[in-house]
Amino acid sequence: MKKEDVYKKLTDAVVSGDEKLSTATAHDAISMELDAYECIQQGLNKGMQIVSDLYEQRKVFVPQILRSARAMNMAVEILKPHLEVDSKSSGTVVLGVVEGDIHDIGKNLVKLLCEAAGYTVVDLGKSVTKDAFVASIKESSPQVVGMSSLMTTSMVGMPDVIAAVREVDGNIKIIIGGGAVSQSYADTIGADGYADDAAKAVKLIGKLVGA
Amino acid sequence: MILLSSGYHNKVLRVDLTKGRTRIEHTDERFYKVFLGGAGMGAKILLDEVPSHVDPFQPANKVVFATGPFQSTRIPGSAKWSLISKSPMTHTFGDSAAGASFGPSLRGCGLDAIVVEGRSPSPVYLWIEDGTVELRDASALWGLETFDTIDAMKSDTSKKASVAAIGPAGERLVRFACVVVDKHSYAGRSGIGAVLGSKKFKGIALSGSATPSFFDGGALDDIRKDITRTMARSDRGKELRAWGTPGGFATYNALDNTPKKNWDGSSWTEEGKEMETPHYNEALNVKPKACISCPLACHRHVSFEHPSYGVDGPGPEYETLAMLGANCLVREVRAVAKANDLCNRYGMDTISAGSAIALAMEAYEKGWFPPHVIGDLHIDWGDPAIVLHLIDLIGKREGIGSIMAEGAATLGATLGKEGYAVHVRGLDVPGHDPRLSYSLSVNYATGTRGACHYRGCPEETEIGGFLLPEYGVTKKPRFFEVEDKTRLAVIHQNFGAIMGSAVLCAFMFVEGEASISRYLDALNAMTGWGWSFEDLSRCGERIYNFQRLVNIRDGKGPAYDVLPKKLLTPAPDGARMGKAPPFDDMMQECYKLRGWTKEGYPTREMLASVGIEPSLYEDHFDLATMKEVIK
Repeated sequence: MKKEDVYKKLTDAVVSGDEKLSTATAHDAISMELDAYECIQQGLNKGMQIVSDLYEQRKVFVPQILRSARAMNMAVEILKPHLEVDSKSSGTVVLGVVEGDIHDIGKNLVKLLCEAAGYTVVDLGKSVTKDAFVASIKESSPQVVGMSSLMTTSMVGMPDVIAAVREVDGNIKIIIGGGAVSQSYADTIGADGYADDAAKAVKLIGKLVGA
Repeated sequence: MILLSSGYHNKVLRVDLTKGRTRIEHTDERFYKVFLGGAGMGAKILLDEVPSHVDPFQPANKVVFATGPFQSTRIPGSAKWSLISKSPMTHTFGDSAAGASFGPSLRGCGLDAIVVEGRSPSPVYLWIEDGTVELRDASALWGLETFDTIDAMKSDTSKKASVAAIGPAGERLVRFACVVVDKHSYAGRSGIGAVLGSKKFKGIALSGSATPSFFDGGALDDIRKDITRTMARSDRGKELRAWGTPGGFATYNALDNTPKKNWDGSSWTEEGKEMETPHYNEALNVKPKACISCPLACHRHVSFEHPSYGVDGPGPEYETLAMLGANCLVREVRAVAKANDLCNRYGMDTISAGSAIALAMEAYEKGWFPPHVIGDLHIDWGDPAIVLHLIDLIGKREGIGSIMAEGAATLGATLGKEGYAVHVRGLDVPGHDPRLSYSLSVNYATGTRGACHYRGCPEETEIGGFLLPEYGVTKKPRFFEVEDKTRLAVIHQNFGAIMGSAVLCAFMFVEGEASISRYLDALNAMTGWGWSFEDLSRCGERIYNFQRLVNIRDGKGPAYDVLPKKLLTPAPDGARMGKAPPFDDMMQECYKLRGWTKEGYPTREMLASVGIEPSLYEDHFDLATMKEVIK
């Protein structure tokens, strides 16, 4: 099997939400001594992007996304110990879904990819209050805070969080994502960046922390 | 005429540091069929080339970095490689194995082994890229801690290089100095890092992708896939990934398998709670880390902040929790993680460091230290700060650290308390108690590298129920029963000799539930030898006995088949209350099972029966007098 075939198999496993296939293929990849990071990026992540696109086009729905995320997660768990992680953390990222919103699939993907890229991630979970964000940044002094929101009803809370974060530490970069928001919304509320998928979010974080 | 063996490169690199020259030497199939590789190969080189009068730190001592047949196969467990030399701890055969990706990289350079000889006038390291060999100046690296050394060697050579290096402990000849590989694996035991230090040899960086020709590459591929898949499904394997070797601590401690208070303590379950998983994982923020091509990923990467104990690096294994934690009565897992990190960076074995520190604590409590030696130090049981301080003193060889750097056995002898240092042949006993697993008593006493829980891991059968059906070990025996325990030790030692020479990680079998037969299929697919299990088993017995010959030749024979008194003294309470193995009887049984004389010496016939013909030793060793042949 060529490495491109392995990547493709990983992609297919995520798209079809087949965790048996994704884990077996991850083990094959290790046994072939393929680069674990490439397997995540070229294989699993690509699959997740396809699923995200299908979701946007309303061709798949949340249960499928969840199955795909699970298939991806389980394969990542197998590949992670083989990642060439720099023993120094590249930085700390605080993540949370804003208050009133419980859609955390995207946020979980960002978390996975951030960890794979060597960041320390503090995951506050879903429906996170402004105070919880503030308490967390006081405790863990992150370089980046990421907020997400899938619903227009919850995205309106973002400016408040941004103001509170800036008050604690003006140097912290704040990025937003999720179905409800956009680059122009990010510009409007004074966020430092926006990304429309998890892979772009990690690249954005890298740019913001100068890694 | 050279008979090339499939599955090997049939090439060994000789590095003469005195002259600064390297050359390639050819090996062949007849040699590999007898000694397999790794620790088997190393024993042969020691018997032939390092006479008994040579001190481990003299230039005439040699260090062998050896692979076995498995290192080019990507089969799980094949990341391992063996490091062999005359040990500064035992003054005879010493070996240690590490993983990461160094073994496969060595093979990738088109070599089966590297033999480092002589002594360089100034610090050097070795860089091999595919077939190109270069000795480079290491003056700028001398004095650097291990992780910085590895980073520096990588940036000087290639980001893709696999690096094995020593740290300040090796340079300062701390007798239990180790070799650190790729910042997450260690050839810890036997003190060979110090031998490299004596040679002014900082380490080796390797990069290459050569593979030898295989007898049946297609079949080998199928077997590899089969082994990987079986192992990936193993429940014990999944547990190992989740908890690593620290997962054993709770059980081991509750059973008083874990040493406490320099082996005098018992019943420490409450005190040991912090070290147990899942607390270990939570407190240290654990991530699993794997050697190349391993589906199990038992290594731990930890990262946490703490005013005195912050660590970002490899986490402590079970042995370290036992030796630097429980055996010193230290309860705080973060402190043990810090102690582990310090040892890693100085480049020293945590088992022997823990043993020396525990003895120092006992000596301090009992007032054995002359006041001028101890100064204003307070070496109290359970004090994490003093443990860290002593590691520093050892690593720098300052003050009392200078004596402790000679190892617990020498520390005990210096204090006139020889019997209180817990070692066999000079190598400290690791964190498994023979008063619980009786088989360990024989296993330790006749260990060819000294007390070892891995070149023979019968405790895994007694405690964990690890079975070896091919060897007839089909059920977990009962604790404290004597019957069959000696035989269990002998079987495990023979199996351990295969692991050390093949070279394979025993966790594949102990935790990954891999089958020995399947690995034998792989060996046959590589080499075309067509070995039966009996052939393999005989090979293990052969290598073990050959290492024993080196022990005897070096004056470390049967007279050293003893256990420290502490390990034969029953505990007043706890899980093994009142129990101790009937050691003398078991040793007699061991000699009998081995086919040795009742004094513990192998005979000519016995040796021939396992394939050690007189021609393999008689130029260097006289079986009639059990002495070296002086030419």
